[in-house]
Amino acid sequence: MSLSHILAKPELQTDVFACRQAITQVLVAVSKGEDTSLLTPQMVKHLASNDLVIKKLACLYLEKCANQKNEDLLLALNTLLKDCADPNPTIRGLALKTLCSLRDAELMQYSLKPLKLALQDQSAYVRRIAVMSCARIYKSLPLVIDDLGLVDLLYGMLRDSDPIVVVNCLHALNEILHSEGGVVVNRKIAYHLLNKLEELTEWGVATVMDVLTNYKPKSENEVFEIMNILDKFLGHSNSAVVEATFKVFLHLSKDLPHIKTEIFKRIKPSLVSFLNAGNPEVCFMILTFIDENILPESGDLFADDIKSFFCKQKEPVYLKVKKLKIIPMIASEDKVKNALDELMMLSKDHSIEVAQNAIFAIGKIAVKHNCHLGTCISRLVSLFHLNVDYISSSVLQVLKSLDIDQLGELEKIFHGLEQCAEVIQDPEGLCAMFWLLGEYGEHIDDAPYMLEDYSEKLGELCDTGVKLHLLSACVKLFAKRPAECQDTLGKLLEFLMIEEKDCDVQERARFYFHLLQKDVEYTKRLVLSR
Amino acid sequence: MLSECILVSSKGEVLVDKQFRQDVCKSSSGGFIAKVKGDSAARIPPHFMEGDIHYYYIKRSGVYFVATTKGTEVSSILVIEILSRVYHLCKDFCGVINTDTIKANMVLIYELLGEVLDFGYAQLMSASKLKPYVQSEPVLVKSEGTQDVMVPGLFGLERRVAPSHAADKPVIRSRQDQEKRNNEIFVDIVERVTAVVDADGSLSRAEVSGQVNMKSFLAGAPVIKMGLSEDLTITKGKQKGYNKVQMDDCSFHPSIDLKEFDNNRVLGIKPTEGELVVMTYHIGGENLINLPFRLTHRIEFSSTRNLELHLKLRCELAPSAHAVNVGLKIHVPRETGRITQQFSCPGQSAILKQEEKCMLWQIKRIEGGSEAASRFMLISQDKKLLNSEEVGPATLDFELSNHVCSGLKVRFLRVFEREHSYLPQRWIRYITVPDNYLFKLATTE
Repeated sequence: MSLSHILAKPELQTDVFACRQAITQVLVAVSKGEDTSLLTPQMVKHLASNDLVIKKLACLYLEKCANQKNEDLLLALNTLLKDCADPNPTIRGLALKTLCSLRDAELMQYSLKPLKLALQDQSAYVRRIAVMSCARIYKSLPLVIDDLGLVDLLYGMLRDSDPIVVVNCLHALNEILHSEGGVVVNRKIAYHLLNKLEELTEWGVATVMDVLTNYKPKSENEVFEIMNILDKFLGHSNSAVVEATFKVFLHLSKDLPHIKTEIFKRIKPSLVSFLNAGNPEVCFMILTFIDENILPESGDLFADDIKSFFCKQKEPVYLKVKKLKIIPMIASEDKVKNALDELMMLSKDHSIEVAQNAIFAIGKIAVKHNCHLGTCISRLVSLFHLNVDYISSSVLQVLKSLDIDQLGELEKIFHGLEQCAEVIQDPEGLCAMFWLLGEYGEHIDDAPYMLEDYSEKLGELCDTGVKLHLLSACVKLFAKRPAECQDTLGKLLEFLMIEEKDCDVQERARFYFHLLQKDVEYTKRLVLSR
Repeated sequence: MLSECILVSSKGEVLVDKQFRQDVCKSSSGGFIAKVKGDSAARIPPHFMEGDIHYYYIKRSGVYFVATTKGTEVSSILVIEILSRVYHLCKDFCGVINTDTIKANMVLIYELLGEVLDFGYAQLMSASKLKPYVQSEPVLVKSEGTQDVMVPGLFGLERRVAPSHAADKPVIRSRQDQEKRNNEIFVDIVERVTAVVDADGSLSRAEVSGQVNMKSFLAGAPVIKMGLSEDLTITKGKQKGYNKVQMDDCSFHPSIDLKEFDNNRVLGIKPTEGELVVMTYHIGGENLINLPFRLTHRIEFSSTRNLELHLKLRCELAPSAHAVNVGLKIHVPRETGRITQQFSCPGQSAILKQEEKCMLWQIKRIEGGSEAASRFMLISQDKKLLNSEEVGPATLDFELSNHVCSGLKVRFLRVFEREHSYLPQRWIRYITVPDNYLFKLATTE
């Protein structure tokens, strides 16, 4: 049975529940994208229903289908205008909201009179909607705002008794005055808002904080006065309020740099409790906040709380990866061991992303705390035993990035390299392995033979970067151990110059060949210079 | 300011789509669904951009709560907090949130979204204040019967235990329900335990995060006095005082009266309709916590060159407590092809999950003071020797009822209404779940 048949049934006039069901079906059809324009006249009739739920559903339908033909909507106009004067404030508010959402410029002209009346309505509920509707009107009819003097009216309504009306005025003014930089906050308004803070909802508090970042205090005393009032919000249970308060504090203390450390110290317990609270999305957002705002200036702040940054088993992958990126930045020297234990455990995780990021994190710690370089290398090398391709590949990439000059450390790596050869398949891993073979090849017995193996399998290697690294490694090793590598290098150059299809690789091979032809000793010195 | 709020099921079906500003094109939900389809869903961060639209989402009970905005002036943290609150409101009004209940309560949710976010800005978001403006009635989706269950207790007396879904009814009562006022209060003390135990049995990390939740079905807004353990101390000490309940720090909901807390540990609460988090607390420090489970393990090579794993999981609690749905997930070497098992008692099962390279040992129920033991044989796929170092760590999952690690107890709960006080029907639950309960099996270097 089609929807228009359902809507035309006579029972719908008397049976409220059946009527609600029918209209819900229409709404489902709309959300699926079906064209319901033929049903609009019938839906509009339900706007006049006595049942509030049916009225609301009909208004919802109008909002969704507001870009349809005018004649149908004209029918709605009368009902809505009548409802704007209804004794029930819920109905007045609903009608005004719907009227201002119609998006048709002609129709919206009719909404201006009820809007002006509603701004002074007795009921706070209606005033809240009226203020937000000013912003709605501004979107469609920007010029009307000046005609009606709404900006001044809204500034006046900042003194309204209802806290939500006040906050809505701030929102509306911010939208209307957006091109001028938002609401203008002078001393009177700032203090009025500060006094109102206790009455506001937490969302209102966050809005007022945002607005206060536009205010410039006149003296240092004033700065401290305001900070005293706002201090308790740094410990609020809603992280949005804490963030907004932090931003205000940063703004207020722009000219007083020594206060910044104090502010960081005061906000730290809140942030740590959010991390422990168990809401993964909020935790992720707080980590991003810490990363952007606090770590660049005060990396050691969280050193004692590093355990709050460790991963938990059920967390989603994105959260674990984020934590792994931050742990190296906050690990202080005495906490390195704890951090390494945790990272080693995660580097064996079955999720590839988590394992890779854990290994990269170990590398970052090795770079940041040079005294622990030896420990880090031992731990990394132990991962070769697992014989897992992505783990070994990540370890090689990290080892490539480290600056290792002690032979003792290097020897740990060499044994592992030989194990890797069977396992590594991915381009980044191969590049890293070739680089290590070239760089430290003079200490590794089997280096020339490993490179020889790979050059024979050149046909299987497809990646340009891999081939280039292989070539560089062979040339470097030739410079260090000429006798063993001459043959391999010769064959490799010949193959690359004649049969290689990739231009970059061919060019590089030719370059090396000509260089070697001209002056072997010079080439050796060139390749070995760091 | 949010442009729209969309609820999407985990299968990619749009359940509710509420536009606030009409500045985002109709295909915005399609953009979100395309991104989170498939198993890469857990990798997508809660905030991402597609084209010029910012998407924010939280995932709860298999349903995505999504918000979109245009423009960069909106704080991401604010949007996520708004979405969290929208989820709690829907839960207060509908009871339980899953795909079926949302479909059944679509009209109610549209009404809620229309009231709480006007033009994309947050208005009133507390359940009790919203109630006068919401006309729709919640539709309850039927599950099993709602009879109270009789459970044998001590001395042959039976205790009444409310089935768990009695507390799942919507807190905001519909018109019909208001006539039959049950004076009931549900108090849940939920603790999440984090523990990391090294291979030699020593505790390397232990913390507890706890929450006292209250769900009040009392009519009106009487004052409730809840008394907590008298020996509760709040210090950052390292040693546990004898028989004391000790916590590092705690915070209370702003509306709670703390006048009598310092002396008698009594809280004055004025519960409004809806769920209320009365108190959150945190206990850190390895010495302060009695862990509920201990695992002893032995790994050795058998005569046939397979790995033998002996595990014994002991529940160290009083016999009145028990744990259900206990699962131990152990990482196994990659070459493991199959496992064989031997259990000490019935009610256990084990499976090998090849894709995740782990073995799941499940025990339906462990009583306090008892243990579950088993012997597993890990058999290699291609006759390669298995690496014993690859065994572990083992993560434990369980639901522990009637016990909390901190020992916190609710001494009494009394309603004070005008001149007289009375005892409402009180359902108090103590629940412990693990946040991260880990046993390391192999020794690290």
